[in-house]
Amino acid sequence: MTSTARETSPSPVALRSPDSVASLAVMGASHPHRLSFMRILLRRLRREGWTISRTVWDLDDEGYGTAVYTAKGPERSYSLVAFSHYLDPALRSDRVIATAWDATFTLFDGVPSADDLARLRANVPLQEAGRVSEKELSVSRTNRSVRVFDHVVDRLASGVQPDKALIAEVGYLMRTTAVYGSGKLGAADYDAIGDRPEFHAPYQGEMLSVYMTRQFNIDLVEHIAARRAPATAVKLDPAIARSFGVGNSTGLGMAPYLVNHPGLLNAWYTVRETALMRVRNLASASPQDEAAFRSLVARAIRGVADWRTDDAVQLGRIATLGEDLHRLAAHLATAGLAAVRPWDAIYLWADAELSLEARELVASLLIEGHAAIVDDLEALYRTDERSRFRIDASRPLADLAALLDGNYQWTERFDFSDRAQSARFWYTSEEKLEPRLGERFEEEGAEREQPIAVARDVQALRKDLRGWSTGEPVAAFLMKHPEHRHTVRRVMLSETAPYAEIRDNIISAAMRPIDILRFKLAFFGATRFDPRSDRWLRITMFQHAPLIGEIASPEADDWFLPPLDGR
Amino acid sequence: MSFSVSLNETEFMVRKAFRGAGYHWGEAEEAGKAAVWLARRGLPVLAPVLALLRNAAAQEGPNNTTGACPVRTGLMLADGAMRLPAGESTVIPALRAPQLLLPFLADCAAINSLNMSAQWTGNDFILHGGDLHGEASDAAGEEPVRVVIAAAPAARPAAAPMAAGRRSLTVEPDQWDALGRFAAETYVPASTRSRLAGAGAGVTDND
Repeated sequence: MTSTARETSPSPVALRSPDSVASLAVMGASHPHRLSFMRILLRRLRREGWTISRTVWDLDDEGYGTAVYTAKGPERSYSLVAFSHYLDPALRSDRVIATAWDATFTLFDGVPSADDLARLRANVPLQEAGRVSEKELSVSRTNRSVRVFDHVVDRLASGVQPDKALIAEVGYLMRTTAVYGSGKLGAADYDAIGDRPEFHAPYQGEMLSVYMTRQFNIDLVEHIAARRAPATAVKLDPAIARSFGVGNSTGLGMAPYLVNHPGLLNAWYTVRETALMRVRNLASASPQDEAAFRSLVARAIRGVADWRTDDAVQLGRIATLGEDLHRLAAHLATAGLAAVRPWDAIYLWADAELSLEARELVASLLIEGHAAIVDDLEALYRTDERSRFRIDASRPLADLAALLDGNYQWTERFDFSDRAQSARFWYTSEEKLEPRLGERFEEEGAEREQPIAVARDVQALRKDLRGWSTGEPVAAFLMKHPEHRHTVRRVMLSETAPYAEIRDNIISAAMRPIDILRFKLAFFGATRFDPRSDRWLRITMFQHAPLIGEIASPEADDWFLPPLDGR
Repeated sequence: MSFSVSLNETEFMVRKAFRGAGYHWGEAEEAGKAAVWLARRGLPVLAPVLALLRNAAAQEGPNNTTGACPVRTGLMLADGAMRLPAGESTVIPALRAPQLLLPFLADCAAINSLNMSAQWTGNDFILHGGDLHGEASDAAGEEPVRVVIAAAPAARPAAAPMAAGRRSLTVEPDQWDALGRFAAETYVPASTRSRLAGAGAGVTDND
């Protein structure tokens, strides 16, 4: 190899660093992508030939009663058991502390017997006040979108389709206000089912439950309309049915979850960042690839136009995002794709020229068109948190210090003696164990805060490490300072988990929990992030996804963005 | 009327209970994992946990427990702060809730390629690899017991390992409630302010 040849071969694009992507600002600009959990679910259902059918439909004229949908795979079946209830509108609340809902659900491991249904009918509508068994994998509930639900029923009953503009405003018929899995309320632990291939990727049970819930919502409005006006009622046009997702109202609990699962957080980042890196490293692109990408950009522009919120900050970001996508389209139209590493060139251009929201959406668009080189990364979602739990305390403190220097420099920039930096505390409320965020200097309870203020705790650890000889084992330090065990464990874990931390101060006055929520929800595959405050937001799940009868179709994986035509 | 809780619930509740009783979060996490280890093998869980925490509460904190703490002792062994080379043994004259020591001995055995053994009245165990071999007595005493711990070179014991496949824990309501009361020390009582502002979701959610 001549030196000239070596010089013209560019060094490979690296993973984006944790410092550059694990800040709250970048997390808060996350977009779903083809390795999001909902996408993985539907690809599996199609690949393995799953069928979903409605097996019980026992609802009265108002739509109250019991329904069961069963998803049948090559080896196992899972059933959504749905109970629809009358709910006094005055009681309708998305809070964890609500006690009644429009509909309640559980995902059953198999096909429920009559006895199972009776047991579930007695417990599932109570949600946290009831118990389920290991035969149940998740428990959830939904509330109606009052505007959309009644409108759709009225229209269908009178023989016409609902108003598309109204649907575009809201995006769903019902929204989930919690989906509990993994051992909650007595349900099966993830450990018990995690060896089944269909559960290797994260949250697959919960996503399957929501996906079947979407069908239930569609079937429910058609049912009520048909009972109300049997002579005139019609069903939903499939294109309109597809435009319904399932809404979701997400609160704070997800934020402590990510901090408390550093191995998991690392896995999620690794999957997405590796996918992006692979695409950026592609040497060239064909004309077909270019056309496909331009089509994605056009669909993204349409998707952004559909993105509704009343939040002023987010509205501004959406407006800028729309402008940025037009600039990207114009750039592609005039400059075309670069001859060498074209996708990297686009990424770098977006990074230099566009807003954070746009750059992160571009990252998702780049990944989208390259199934063949990224879809296998799904396997990296499986982590073994258990094996990394034990601290190797025989190691010298020099190793701990090196990890602090290598992975925790970001903690040094916060001054926790400044009240604004330590203004908040995360805690669990006695009231229904709801996660809440408190104001440290204005409220009671900070002495019971959850141990997730990583930056502050790492600073305290560093302070107590001063004066210790670096040759001493970690064990000796932990004997003297048991209060640092929790933090030491995190720091040691970071050695094999570079993306384990949210590299930001999550107890500051300026921190927005919705930035953390958005990151997690983007990985679920959610869209239409609609902040309702700094600490909760609405999203939509499975909007534009195929209906259950369409799982096998070729377009079944192509629903990340709305279609260009009115399909 | 006993009921079933998941291993996740077991871990979280025990972790919170230990913290509520005054242990550091890092120790409480270890206790939660230890409880799951015992639960998988059908060994006593809540009885020893409650015996330990009640003593900590009575003595105003885990630093003052009468009798050694199995979690803290176990961590010293697993960390290597207390070393027990092959061929040596040590006696802990009064160890409370000795079952809780076993998961840590299991780690110690795995880390150091040893067989660790623990023996107290009616109970005789060997930890080899990740497995537990031996005899457990059902008697769940509240009082601390004399425990002999020994180390030997790693070798598969003759008796088969105890199965570790349980997927849930059967609990008595009064025990689970007692555990919950310790855990509740980690919750902050609600106030009007916290209910309105602490979590999000609006006054009206209809849309």
